[in-house]
Amino acid sequence: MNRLCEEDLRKVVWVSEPVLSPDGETALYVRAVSDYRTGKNIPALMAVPVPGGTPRRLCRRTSRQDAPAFSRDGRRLAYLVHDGPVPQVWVMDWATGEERQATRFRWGAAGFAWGAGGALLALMRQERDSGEDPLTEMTEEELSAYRHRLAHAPRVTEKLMYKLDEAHGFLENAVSRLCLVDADDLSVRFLTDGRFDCALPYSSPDGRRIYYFTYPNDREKALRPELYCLGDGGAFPVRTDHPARPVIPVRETARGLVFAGEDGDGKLILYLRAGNGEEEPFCGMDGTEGVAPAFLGNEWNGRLTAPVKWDGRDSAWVLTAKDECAVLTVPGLHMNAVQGGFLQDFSAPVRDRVLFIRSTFRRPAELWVRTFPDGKETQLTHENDWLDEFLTGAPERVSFFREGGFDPGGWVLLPEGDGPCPAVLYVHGGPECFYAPDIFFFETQTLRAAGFAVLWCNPRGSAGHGPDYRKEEYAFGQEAVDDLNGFVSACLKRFSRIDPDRVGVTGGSYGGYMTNKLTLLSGRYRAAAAQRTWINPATSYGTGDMGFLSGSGQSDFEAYLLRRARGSILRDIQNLNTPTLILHGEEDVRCGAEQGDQLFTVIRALRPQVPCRLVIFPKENHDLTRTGLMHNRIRHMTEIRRWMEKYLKEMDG
Amino acid sequence: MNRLCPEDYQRLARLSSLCMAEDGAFACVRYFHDGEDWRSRVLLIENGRETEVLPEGLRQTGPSFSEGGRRLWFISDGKPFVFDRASRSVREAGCLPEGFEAVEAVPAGAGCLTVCRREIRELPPEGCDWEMPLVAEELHYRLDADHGFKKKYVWRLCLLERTCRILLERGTPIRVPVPLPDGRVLYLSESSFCLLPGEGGEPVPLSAPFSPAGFRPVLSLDGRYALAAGHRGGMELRVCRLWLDGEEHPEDQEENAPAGLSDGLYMDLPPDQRTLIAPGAGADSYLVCAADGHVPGLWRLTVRDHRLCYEQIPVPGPVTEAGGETENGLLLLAGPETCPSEPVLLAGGAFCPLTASHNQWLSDAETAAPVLLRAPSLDGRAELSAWLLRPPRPAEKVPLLVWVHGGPSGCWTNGFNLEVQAAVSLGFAVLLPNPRGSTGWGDGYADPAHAFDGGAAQDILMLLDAALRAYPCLDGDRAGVLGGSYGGFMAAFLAGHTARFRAAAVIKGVTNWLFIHFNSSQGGQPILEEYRDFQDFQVDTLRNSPVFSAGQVRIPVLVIHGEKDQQVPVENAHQYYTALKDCHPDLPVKLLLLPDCCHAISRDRLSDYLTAQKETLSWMVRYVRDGKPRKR
Repeated sequence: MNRLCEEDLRKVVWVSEPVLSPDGETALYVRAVSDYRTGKNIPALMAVPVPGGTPRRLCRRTSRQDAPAFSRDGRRLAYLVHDGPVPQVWVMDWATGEERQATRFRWGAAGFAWGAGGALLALMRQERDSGEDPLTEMTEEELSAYRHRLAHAPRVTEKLMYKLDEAHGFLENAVSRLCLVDADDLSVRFLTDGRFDCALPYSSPDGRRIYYFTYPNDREKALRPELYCLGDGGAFPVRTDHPARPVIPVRETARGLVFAGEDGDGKLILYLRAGNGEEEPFCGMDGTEGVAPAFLGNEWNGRLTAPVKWDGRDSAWVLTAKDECAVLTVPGLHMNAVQGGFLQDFSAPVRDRVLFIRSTFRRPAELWVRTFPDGKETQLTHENDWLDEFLTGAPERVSFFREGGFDPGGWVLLPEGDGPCPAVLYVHGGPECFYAPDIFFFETQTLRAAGFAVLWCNPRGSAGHGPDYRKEEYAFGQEAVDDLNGFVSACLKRFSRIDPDRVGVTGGSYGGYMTNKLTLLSGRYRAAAAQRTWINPATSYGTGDMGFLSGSGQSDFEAYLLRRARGSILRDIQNLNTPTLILHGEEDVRCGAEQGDQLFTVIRALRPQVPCRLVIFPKENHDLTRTGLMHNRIRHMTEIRRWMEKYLKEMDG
Repeated sequence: MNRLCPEDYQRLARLSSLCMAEDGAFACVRYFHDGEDWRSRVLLIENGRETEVLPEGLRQTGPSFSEGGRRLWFISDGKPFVFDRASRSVREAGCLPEGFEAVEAVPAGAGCLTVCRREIRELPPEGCDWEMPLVAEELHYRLDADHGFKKKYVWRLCLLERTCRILLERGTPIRVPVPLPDGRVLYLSESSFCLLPGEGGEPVPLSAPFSPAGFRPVLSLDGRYALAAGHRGGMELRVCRLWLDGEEHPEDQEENAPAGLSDGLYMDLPPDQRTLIAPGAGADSYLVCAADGHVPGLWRLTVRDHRLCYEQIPVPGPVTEAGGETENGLLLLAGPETCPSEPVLLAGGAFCPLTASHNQWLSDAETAAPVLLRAPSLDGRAELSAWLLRPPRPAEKVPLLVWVHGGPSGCWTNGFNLEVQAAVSLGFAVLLPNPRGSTGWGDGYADPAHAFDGGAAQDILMLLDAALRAYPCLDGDRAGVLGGSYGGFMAAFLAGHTARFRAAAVIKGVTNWLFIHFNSSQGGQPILEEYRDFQDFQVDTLRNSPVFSAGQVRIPVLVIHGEKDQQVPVENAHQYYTALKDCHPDLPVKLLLLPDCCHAISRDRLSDYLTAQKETLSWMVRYVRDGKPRKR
């Protein structure tokens, strides 16, 4: 058996976006592998027979595809193709397999949905203030000039909302414009004028109304979009009692319009709006909030782990999380349709079956099918069976008693053998995230292979255990600190192998913040790696994009700034004795790179005797460890392991 | 007459690095724009005739003569070259070690002493264009000139003759080498001047009464000492004697002699590689260019009885460099106030041009000459001064821009400034104040404490009032404020503390000092250590930062910043702009970011510099010159 090392991450095959063919006989999914030279993931659309067989590439004319979706009549399959300079929508005739390019947008397609009557609702990227025809593809020369301009031309804004981590900083001066593409003659009709961004279009079954989310304030006031309906009388906002959220497409059902909204606590709920305008919760998700852990690479970083799907009876299928597990829920039944492993995504059900993507702790996600009502589950892909030849471990559950409180427990992954070992505590990001027991957690396996025990838990402030557990004041107060320290003590008590004098700590984002907090409060941790850390609210205001969400509308600005100035955990810097590694993406706009820089500078200036190392990854944002380039992700893991080896293993005694 | 505009910047030629041969020929470097980039070329001037000695070079620096002027040495695109005046031929001066680029080349004996360096960096696997991570383990890991993390080099001092002999290798910079007659080499290490023994061996640091500045020392004729520039205590540059005999020289101590040239002598902003001190005629005689207060001038420095004595040489206009002394007069780079410096001979109290103008196009342009304004400070402790430029044909009431210089160590002089002239062309009068904190009037005046505590802001307002009193045509109701770096700090500070201005432009300005302490190339300064309590440090620092008063700003503000700025990190712009938009959703506020620019915007891409200039001026035109009358 081989030992797993960081470089092996290149071999992992990522399976996502499951879709069932209209007859339910074929499962489609996206298979992504990383390209060594560029470090980017290359997606390809795959097809595998249900209930089993050899997967094959679906498309012959193009090589990189994702986002598959069948038309409402099931005759056509549309998908995004990434072969060219910008993504375009392609359509395949499902019966004949004939493929053809459906859009030739100059700046590419941002997404699409099928409308009524075989029409495509496409989101076309359009540069503002450009006189170029948006329906003519760019030549190579034009493209190169365009890319150069995006990277090097001066950027101007007069809006408050001008940057986002997802955009790697400055928001492009481009919008997603909604248009209707006839899938037969490929003619294009614009539905919006291109002034504002649009997202998640949906057409009523009769095609008379088209719904979409947009930012009518042009992102001036806040991130919050509004739901619009385009009908006979033009476009008008759908006024609701609940702030709409662009998490799922809306849907017209026999009983009324269903949309996602937030209740007063910021909890996401599906609402049903009847013809008379009355609204009621359609699908309560009370107590089941939670998101996939940060390292999942899940773009749905809301409180659903995957977009809502609908079956033929207007029932919404919702994947949420409860008690650290992903739960597939069918409204009205409230049943856990699938159990075991961690569900990352699922397909809309067809006939008596549903596809889902499921990972375990030791295996990346694979594609499965489950049939009803017998509940039979069959694995359809075996993309990561290469891991059979590697030594991997499974974590043990450790409970830690907290007087008068709920005991969420945590996990310990021990290295091979039974000799003494150092340990590393992992803290998740968020704080509204959680670690799930069955999530594939690659870097814990490489640390284990290097001889470390790895410890992790979900302290108070984490999601996954309901709103009373998830409170922000716990996450940033003493509670999370007590829970993490209590958990480490419980691990040390239960496993005498773990050397109490050789425990390190690491985590990203909120986990980076907690890493620093733990080392600033005590000398218990002998090595630390702060990843993409948040450390000082006095400077994070206006530099990271969180400032837009938290800073607006200050009546007493000076008092607000002073509160932030007094709120930094760097006030305890004189206590720091822990060797600290700082890792940050240069284009991180969530926890700005200045936060990592300043932690380094302050340690170097005020604690010069404490070993400290700053590693900045160019062109990476806050998603460095999730969607970052493969060589950077590998280096990131390697830096952490080497730091822990240096200060927890080589410094023995 | 043509009106000057920001685009004229690309037509501008500047001369620098003047040096002289014994026969009166001289050389200098001409800086000019070629498309987006700066170019620099060595010019040899013999009897008024100009020769580009290596016309194909892109970046040429550091000309110096040897053998009485027979040969001219210089660097072109990282390689040392030598031009033979008799044969009119140019050749590479020798072969550098593989992968090394020359940074400086100084003639020594029959060859040249060359500082060269090779970058050390982590490389990706072959065939991959990965950008490798940046790693730091020590403070001061950023550098503005490198647009990010400081590049790491191996530095070597070599003697190039027939072969390349490596005299010294270091992991830190080796700068301004001066060969001594006895074979030793004087050079500047990261922190001090050092003497490298001629026969090899370890360099010996020299004790100096000041911290050295990066100008090349000038050796005395007898080779016993060198004159060098440095800082002693305060912000001002001084000239000091650097003994090379390894002995103590108590006669040079401050109590015995004014070893520093003067308390009030300020050296004008240094272009690269410039000769600050030039040899004068005869032993122990030197020429020094400096700005005394607001006027760049010329001094003759002599050493008598171990005393550095100086006398000002009257000049009819601003002087930026001295090249040397001939029997006919002094060779200078100087000129009138309305165009950049040109090579001139100072004779009989007048500047006689030695070449045709390098900025001939300016003769057709309408330019304004600065006039001096004076005012007492509010506390009566200082005499303040400013330059004022007015449009040649002023309207009845002239809008006014108050333009604050950077630094704060620096000052406005009456030298030619195209940016200011372009503003005047648009109908503005421009006030260039030198508030306390500016250099040129001694360390007391230049004390940075004045610059940051609101005292300098008060000084600026006093000078503004003096200008309005002296020139009734100035429209005090239509005044704007702008500046870069420290000037940007002051523009933002004034925008949040007074109602005197109609608009502000904050260019690469400090708006939160925390970013300077935490994130800049000079981050982690001792001030952090002075505070016992980190929270107190944060609160005090924030209170002294313009962002703190963002709520009080009531005027349109333009914020401009280079994203690669390492001296004043771009976070200043992000936070200040966000604060203004956050506090005043309806106030015109605009953010302009230049992705490839560092702090020295004018030295980066031309188009970015022009964008910044044009945006600034059109902001002032829109909200100051053409703004609606203020409601009373």
